[in-house]
Amino acid sequence: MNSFAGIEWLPPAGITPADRSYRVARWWEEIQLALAATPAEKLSLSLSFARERLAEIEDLIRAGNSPAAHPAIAGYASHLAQASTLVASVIAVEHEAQLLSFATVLLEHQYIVSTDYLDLPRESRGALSEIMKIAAQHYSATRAQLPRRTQDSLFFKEEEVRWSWEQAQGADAQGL
Amino acid sequence: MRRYRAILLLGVLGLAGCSEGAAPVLEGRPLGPYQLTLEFVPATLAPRGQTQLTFRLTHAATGAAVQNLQVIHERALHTFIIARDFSSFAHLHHEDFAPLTAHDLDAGRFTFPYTFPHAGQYRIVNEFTHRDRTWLKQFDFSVGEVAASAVVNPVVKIDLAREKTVADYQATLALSPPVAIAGYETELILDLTHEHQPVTDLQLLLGAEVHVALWRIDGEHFGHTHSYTPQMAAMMRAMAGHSGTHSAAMMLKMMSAPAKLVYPGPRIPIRYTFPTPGLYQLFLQCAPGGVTTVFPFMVEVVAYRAGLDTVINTIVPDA
Repeated sequence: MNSFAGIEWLPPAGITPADRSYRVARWWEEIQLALAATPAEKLSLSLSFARERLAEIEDLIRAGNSPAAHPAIAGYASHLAQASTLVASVIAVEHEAQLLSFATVLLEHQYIVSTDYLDLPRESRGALSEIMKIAAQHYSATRAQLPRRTQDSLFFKEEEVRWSWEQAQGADAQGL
Repeated sequence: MRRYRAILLLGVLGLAGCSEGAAPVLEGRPLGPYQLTLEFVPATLAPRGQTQLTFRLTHAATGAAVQNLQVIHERALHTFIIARDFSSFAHLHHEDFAPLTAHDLDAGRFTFPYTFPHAGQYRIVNEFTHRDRTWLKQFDFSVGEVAASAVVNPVVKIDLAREKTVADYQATLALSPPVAIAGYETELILDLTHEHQPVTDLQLLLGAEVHVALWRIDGEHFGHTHSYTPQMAAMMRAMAGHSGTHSAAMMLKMMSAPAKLVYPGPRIPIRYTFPTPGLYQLFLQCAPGGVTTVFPFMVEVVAYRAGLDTVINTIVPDA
C-alpha cells in the first residue's frame, strides 16, 4: 500500500527560533550530545534533534514566519552532517544496518516534509525545498554506500518520496 | 518498542480510569496530520457482549472532519481487530453493517458493532487513504480482566504448520523462495481444497481474491496485501523500468477500480516483502464458494546471508 503509512510523525514544535529561550534550548542539546556515552547514543540524539528542527521549521512556516526558520534549517543540516559522520564511524559488523537505518530516516524526513507541504501556506512553504535538498543529498551519499541488494529494498520508499514531492511541486505549479 | 509499551499501558490505564463514567475516547497512534479517535459503547469493555465501536477522523491541525476519503477495495476505512496473542482476528468496516450516509461522511464518522471473543489485550489497526496517501492508526486496549504481565507480554502460541483446516476447507501455504528473507520479496501460494477437492469457486472479497493482514508476533510491522495478479506484475515491471508512472498513484488506481476475478482457485499467489527477520502471524481472508473464511498461518523470516536462495519461482501468469 504505502511504505510510510505507519511512520511516527514529527513531534510538537516546542520552543522555536522565534522564542527568546531558543539558544538556551539548543545549548542544552549540545550538552546532551557532548555527554552521550556512545556513538549510538549520540546518533540517536542527533536524529531526534533533527526531527525537532523539522517540527520547528514547519511551525514557523505555518505561522508565516519562514525567515525565522533559518537557524532551524542550519541546525537540521548540522544534525544530519553529524549523523552521517557517526554512521560512517560505526564498526564494520553493524555498518550496513546503520546505513540502512539512516537512509530510511532520511526518506521518512522527505516524505513527511513533502506531505505536510500541501497544508502549509503557499507563500512561505518554499523554505522546505532547502530541507528536501539537504535530506536528499545525505540520502544519495548514504545509499551509494549500501550493497545493491539493500539499495533495491528501498525502491518503494524512494518511489513514494519522489511521487510525494512531485505532488507538492505540482501544487505550487497549479497555485494550490 | 519502549514507546509502544508505554502507549499500550497508557491506553489501558486510560480505559481503566474512564470505566465508571463517560465512554472513553482513545486516540490512534502514530500521531500525524490526521487524528483518529475510537469510542466504545458500553464504556466498560467485556468479552462476549456486543460493543459499538465509533471512529472519528479529523484533521489534527483544525479539528475539521476529513472529507473525500478514497474508497480502496470497496471501503473507506478498513479496521483490523486482533487479540494480541493472535487468537482472534476480524477485518470489518462500517459499510458491512449499514450504508455510509452523507452525514457519516461529512462528520468523518464510522461505526459498527463488534463482540470481543475473550478477555485479553487487543489491538485495532485502521487503514484509510486521503489525497492518494495511505495512513495507518492503531489502538491498544484490554477487554475484561487482564493480568498486568499479559498486557506487556502477551503469550503467542507458535504454530508453523503449513496446512490448516477451517470449517470444511483445507489450506496449504507454500513459499518461494522456500525460506522468507527480510528485505526480499516472497511469493506466498495459498492452495485451497474443499473436502479434498480443489477449490475452483473462489469469489472476490472486497475486490481481491485474498486479503492478507500480518504482524510480526511482537505486534510490530503490520502489513496488508492481496493476491498478486498479472496486472500487478505488469505494473511492477513498469515501475522497475521507471517508465514515468508513479507507484502510489498506479497502485491506488488499481485498488480502487472495479475488480475482476483472476484466480478462481485452487492456488492464489500473494507477494510480500517482510521488512525484518522474526516470526510473523498472517491471516489470509478469502471467500471460497462466497463464504468468508480466514486461514491463520505463521511464517518465519530470516536475515539475508550468503547462499540463501532468493529466486521466486512464480505461478503468476506472465510475471
